[in-house]
Amino acid sequence: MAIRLLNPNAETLNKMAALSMNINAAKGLQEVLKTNLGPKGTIKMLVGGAGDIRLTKDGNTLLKEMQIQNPTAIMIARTAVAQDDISGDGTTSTVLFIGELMKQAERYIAEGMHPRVLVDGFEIAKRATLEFLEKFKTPVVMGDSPDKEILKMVARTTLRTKVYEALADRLTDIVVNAVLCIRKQSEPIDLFMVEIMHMKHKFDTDTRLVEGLVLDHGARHPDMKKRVENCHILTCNVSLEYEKSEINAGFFYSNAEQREQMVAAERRSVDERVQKIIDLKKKVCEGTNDNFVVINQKGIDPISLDLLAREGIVGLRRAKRRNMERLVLACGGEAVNSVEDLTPDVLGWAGLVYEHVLGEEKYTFVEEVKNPHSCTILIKGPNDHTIAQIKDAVRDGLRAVKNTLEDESVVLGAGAFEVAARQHLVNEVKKTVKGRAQLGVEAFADALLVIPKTLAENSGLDTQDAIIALQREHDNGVIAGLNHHTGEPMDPQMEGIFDNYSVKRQIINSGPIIASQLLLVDEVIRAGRNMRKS
Amino acid sequence: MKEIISIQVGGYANFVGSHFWNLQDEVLGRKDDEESSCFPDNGINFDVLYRVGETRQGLETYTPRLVAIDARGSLGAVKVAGSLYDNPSSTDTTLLFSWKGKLSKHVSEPEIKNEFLQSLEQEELDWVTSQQTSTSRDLKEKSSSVESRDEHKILQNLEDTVQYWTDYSKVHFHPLSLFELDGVWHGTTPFDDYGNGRDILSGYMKDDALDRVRFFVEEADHMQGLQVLVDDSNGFAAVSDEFLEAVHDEYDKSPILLFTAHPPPLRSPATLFESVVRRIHDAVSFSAIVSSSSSVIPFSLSSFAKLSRYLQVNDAKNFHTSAVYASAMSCMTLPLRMDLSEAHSVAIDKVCGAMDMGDLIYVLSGRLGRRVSASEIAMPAPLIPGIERTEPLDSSWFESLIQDIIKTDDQVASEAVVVQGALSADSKLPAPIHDVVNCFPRKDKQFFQLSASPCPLAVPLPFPDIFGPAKQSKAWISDFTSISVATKLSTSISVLPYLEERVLSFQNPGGSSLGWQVLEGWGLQKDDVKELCEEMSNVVSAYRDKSWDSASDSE
Repeated sequence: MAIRLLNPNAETLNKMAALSMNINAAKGLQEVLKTNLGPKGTIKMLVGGAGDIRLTKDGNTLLKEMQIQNPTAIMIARTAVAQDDISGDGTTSTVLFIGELMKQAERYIAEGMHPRVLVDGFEIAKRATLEFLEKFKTPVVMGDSPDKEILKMVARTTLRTKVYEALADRLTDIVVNAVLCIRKQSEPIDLFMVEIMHMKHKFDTDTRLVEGLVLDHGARHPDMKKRVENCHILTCNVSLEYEKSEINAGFFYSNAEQREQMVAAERRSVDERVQKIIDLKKKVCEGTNDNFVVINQKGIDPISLDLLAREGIVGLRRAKRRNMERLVLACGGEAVNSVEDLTPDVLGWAGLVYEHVLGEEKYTFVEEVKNPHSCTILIKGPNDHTIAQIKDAVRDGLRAVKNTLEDESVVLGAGAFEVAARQHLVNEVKKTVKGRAQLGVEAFADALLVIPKTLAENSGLDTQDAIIALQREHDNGVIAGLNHHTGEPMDPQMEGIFDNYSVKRQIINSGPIIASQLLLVDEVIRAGRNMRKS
Repeated sequence: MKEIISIQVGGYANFVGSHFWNLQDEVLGRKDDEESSCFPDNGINFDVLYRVGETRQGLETYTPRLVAIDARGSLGAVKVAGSLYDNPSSTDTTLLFSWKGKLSKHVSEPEIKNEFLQSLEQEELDWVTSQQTSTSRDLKEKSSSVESRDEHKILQNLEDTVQYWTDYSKVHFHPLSLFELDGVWHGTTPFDDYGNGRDILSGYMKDDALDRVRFFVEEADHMQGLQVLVDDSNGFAAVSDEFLEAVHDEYDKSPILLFTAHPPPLRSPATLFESVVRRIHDAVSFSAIVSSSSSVIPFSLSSFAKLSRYLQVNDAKNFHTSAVYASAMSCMTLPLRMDLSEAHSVAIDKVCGAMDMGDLIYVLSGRLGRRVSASEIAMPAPLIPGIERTEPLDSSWFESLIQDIIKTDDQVASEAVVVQGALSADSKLPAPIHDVVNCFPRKDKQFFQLSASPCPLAVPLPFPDIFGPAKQSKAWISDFTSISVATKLSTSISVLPYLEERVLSFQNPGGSSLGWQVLEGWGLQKDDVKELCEEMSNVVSAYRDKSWDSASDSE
């Protein structure tokens, strides 16, 4: 009520109208995302008013592409997007699950049941399902040498829902190798250490893993070599350009001469820094065929570039901040912030550094590195929207591998978990619940089936037949998932279909929370104007 | 030559920016025009703002070093990647190679290109044909008569229909220049205040936006600084704040010259709540962003009615008001684009008072480290009396571009005045530079910089027709393809009311518990607010205490 006092212009809806608005919004969103789910889902091509194209098979991306105005739908979308932020996947499933919980609730409420009782049942069912998940999950041991096959199976399961099969299988190898490359024993995995770089190329649509680093810029001096072998790599964050001393309020030049002197002094100190780098180069390269490459986060001005070029040094300026870390992980050595720290020990090593030019775009490949802990996934595609879609898929694949390594367990996929959990709730848990909350448990259990149902529907199968067949198997003690080709039950273990444990857990957790909030709403207040229009 | 990287954030900033780039483009276009006397060889170096590039087809391009951030759908009929490097993406679904399964296509209602954009396309086609047939002269003559007839029609059409800033943009942008914010839809997403914009720019999107800036910075041999223009009237204030903080962090030694602009409010707040939100929004936005910049120039008129008796600006049209701000911005930053090398030697009669961004900020901040400038404009610029009459010009020519301002004479204030295309009172011809210099004496200011160019502001076709009264008075100019402008930036205590209002909103947020509710609703903790408040007090103290001290010292 307080809020309404604040804003008398807000429009209020009474309780029943609010509830039905919430249910409709959840169902509406479910309807839009439903066709996305699974390896047989529909990809969506969205064409904007000016002809810009976006392609998406991913629920998360699709939600961002939608202009959602309904406040309930916004709330659901936020939850689903947060799901993606936390666990990297499961957006579509979350939206479907929330929508289905609301649908089930609608039925019971129409029969006169109070939402409060349903919500209590949801809560019981949620806890029971999470406990069941702990028993149901398949533990996998990830020691020094993780089981690559299981990692691939998880990555493949998610990737095949994002891109077509052959490409998914190719990306699977890439993302698994990439994560294993950056993984360090007893340290959390930082996926930012995998650089994702793209090149637009009309005919070349290959995506590959570069063991090393690809930078999106090149040397800025015509005399610097485009290809060098046996390279010492200096990673640094040292300004090699003339810049005015920082603007200082208290200080003023008293005359032009003093100013000239300051300028000259500053130039001298830049030159000295460059000279220190040259000295180091001479020290490590003299008498060998080795080369020297400087990759700097700060600027290098033409005078400094010239000094470097004359010594045969290749210099790159304004490297990405994150590449400072990646370079060191890829090539070894240390990133230095001052020329005082220059010793041969801070240098990294790369067997090959070369430049690749595409129109005005330049790329520098740092390859043939020893024992890299950073790598680059290089995506080539014919246009921006395809590249963007593959990039999304790669990110999801990376997350899936990381989750598996951290969860040390996986969950059988293809709807197997949802059917098993549903049977568990109906056959076991429901009996232990007193009173009408039982119906809440049942509603929750039925809502879980939205996943296998939608998989079947998207595959053009008869939903009811498929679900009945799956339930029969589970009642006989056989864990089965849906074969999306035939509609018959199959063993997900045999087929290698696994989902991330943390993703499933997150869906089970967040879905009912949002559904409960939407069911217990007293009134909805609509406020806020649109953005200023010209 | 020292490069400037431009950044624009938010709807209104892009309205201003669109005019700004049109103004630059017009001068660039008239360089080859032999008829006009001053535009060729004007001592302005366009490489400061523009970069040379090359398409995959090997065509040379010349585009602004610009990153412009706006909401999704704010680009109207213009593609986000521009059309210069275009290899038109096919919506032919059979060419899809990342998915072999089912596909559904969802096509939005196409945005129709307005007459102006269509005429640009036609012009380009004509140019291509003329290049091929080499009968350019005939074509030019033929089309010029048609053009003048059409121009009026096109401008009228713009006056009536401009909806997006791209509707009147005649500039080609680099594919990395335009950046749409995911999750914020133009006209749909509630985006009225600072709170709406919080946490919008994060994760991969933030990295991507920063990378765009990096692209232009990496190319620059001697970056002089970043020229940033933000819309501080809505959620973009928070986006700008977030973005600028990251930019400042990355290029910590480079000066950042910040323009904040917002359109005149269409209506005054209807409720107490609304007015509290507005006041707090203004205070939070300003204090958050001021810390990430070297110098701030606010544009914040709530009405343009008193700006100049020669102009007629419609407050309700962003197309109009942004044109005035863009003209001011273009003039104020002119010294940064003057060719430094030429200014020292040959072109002494072309330009005067060239400086780089560091110098400008150095002059403005003065001894006291003042970071907010009052901006004023005279459009058209005052007439320059002849040599025999060298009495200083009355400063009343200038009108403020900030609403809350006191006109006062502040001895310790720094001033940077730019005069372009000023006419001589006697001959009504462009006044020689030394006459202009004589008219704006150093006065008693400790830090005073005068820059001048005989080259007026070239008025492009899609510039709104705001010269109605000037046309009637006939005292000035015969045609309106160019106009003289003068601007004055000064860090005088006249901006104090503007600043103090923002401090007050913090000290007593909204005059009641409402204020805190708003701040908390935006996710700001008491500590955050305290920090912002201190930042503001620092900014203000450079004006308040010391100015008074030194004033009494001199007595």
